[in-house]
Amino acid sequence: MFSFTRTLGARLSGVTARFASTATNAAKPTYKAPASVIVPTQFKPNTKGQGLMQLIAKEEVKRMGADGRSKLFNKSHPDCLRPGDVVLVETLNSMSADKTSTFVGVLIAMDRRGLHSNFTVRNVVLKVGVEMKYMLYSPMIKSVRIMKRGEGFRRAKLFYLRDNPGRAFRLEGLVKQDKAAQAKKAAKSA
Amino acid sequence: MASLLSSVRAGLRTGLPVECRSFVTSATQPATWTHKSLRTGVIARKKGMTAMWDEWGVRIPVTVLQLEQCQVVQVLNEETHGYTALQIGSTDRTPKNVTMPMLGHFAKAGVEPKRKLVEFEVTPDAVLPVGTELVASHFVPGQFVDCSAPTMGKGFQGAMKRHGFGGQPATHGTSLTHRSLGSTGQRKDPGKVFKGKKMAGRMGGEQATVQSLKVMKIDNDLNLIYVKGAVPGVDDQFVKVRDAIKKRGDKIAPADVLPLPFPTIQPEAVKAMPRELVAKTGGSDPYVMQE
Repeated sequence: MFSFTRTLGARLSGVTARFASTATNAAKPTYKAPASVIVPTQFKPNTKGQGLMQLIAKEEVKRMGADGRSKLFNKSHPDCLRPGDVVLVETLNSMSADKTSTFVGVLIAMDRRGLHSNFTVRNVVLKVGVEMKYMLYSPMIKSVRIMKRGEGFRRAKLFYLRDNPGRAFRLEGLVKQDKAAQAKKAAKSA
Repeated sequence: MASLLSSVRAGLRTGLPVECRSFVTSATQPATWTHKSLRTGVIARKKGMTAMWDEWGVRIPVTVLQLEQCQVVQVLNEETHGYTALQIGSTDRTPKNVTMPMLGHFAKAGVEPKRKLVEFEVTPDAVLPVGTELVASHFVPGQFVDCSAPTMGKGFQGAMKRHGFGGQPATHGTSLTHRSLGSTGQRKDPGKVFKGKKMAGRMGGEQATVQSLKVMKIDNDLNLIYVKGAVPGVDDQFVKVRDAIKKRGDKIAPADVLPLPFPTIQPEAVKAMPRELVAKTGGSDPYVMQE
């Protein structure tokens, strides 16, 4: 479980390392970012051993995944998502307010595409099947929590659940249990 | 060539010999921009596409363009050539693969031989000295640019794909003519097919310009420009990037980044900047309902 902080763009003090000019420091121009420009987290580029597009994709993953959400797609990590898990995804409604929306469902697909990695969550809401596709590195995703590990799913993509759901989408009990547990936790910490 | 060098640039981003490069020096007074001024464009290489998220959480597809040893090779002026322009060269080349006439042309300018030469018409106040290197910060995040490049070749294509013709019905008796042109003219008058009649033929590989693409990000270390949207052509293609002609004056960029570096960015200013700068989309939050 992780939670995402929205503060972006911390200017690295390492910027001063680029001042290696032999000119005197008397009239050295400084850069102040105007209001319409964001200075994101800076990295030092290392082009050795990889092409340009691989490098910038990796840097962007590092930047957008600074809260540790990459572990959800990392097979060697114990907190990795697996198809069949019941997950709770909390998304921000907008970047200007703190209101969130929650969606609970079964993880039926995971696509590993680097920065464009995404996963699909399915649930039956008021007798209507609903699938939500989330981009893993989107800043609108606040948290992804595994409510229950999937058991007995032997496929990478569980699209067959659309026609043969069985008891896969009976999740009300889980949600209630989880809510109670969260309330208890909040009461304890308060 | 060493005489053209005016300031030492430590931390070389391109990793290539510095003797052949020079910049608009701080000694040279940068000309003032007027509303009639037209600055130079650059030659960039299309490196590929990726995506980024803006400050509102909206996912934006971007094309990555890289400036590779982009220098001014020749200045064309009114007296000698009849118009004012800069000939820009991009991407160094090994001299053994360059013809003697071209080697002489580059030697006169004091630059390394280049792979691609393109002319950009400019106003006289935007002229840069020969050998000046153009970097990514010539453009500012948030401004609009036009990108021109040859489109992807599609080979010999039929009229339906090439010109968007409707074809004929799939059924109801149509025999062997589902995707053809149909009629190509009238009868005895005029008794011929007009020149320029749209027909099947080779498609693609022509220059196309995509206008008013927003510059979303600038990378000073790797000399990258990220533009929003798609750019014609294949990866590693040479792309002409210019300030948008349909957004002159104040509309070219947000007010707080204006004026644009004129005639191009000073090297000291580039050194002072952080490596990456991202443009804000601005406006109001699209995920909040407006009353």
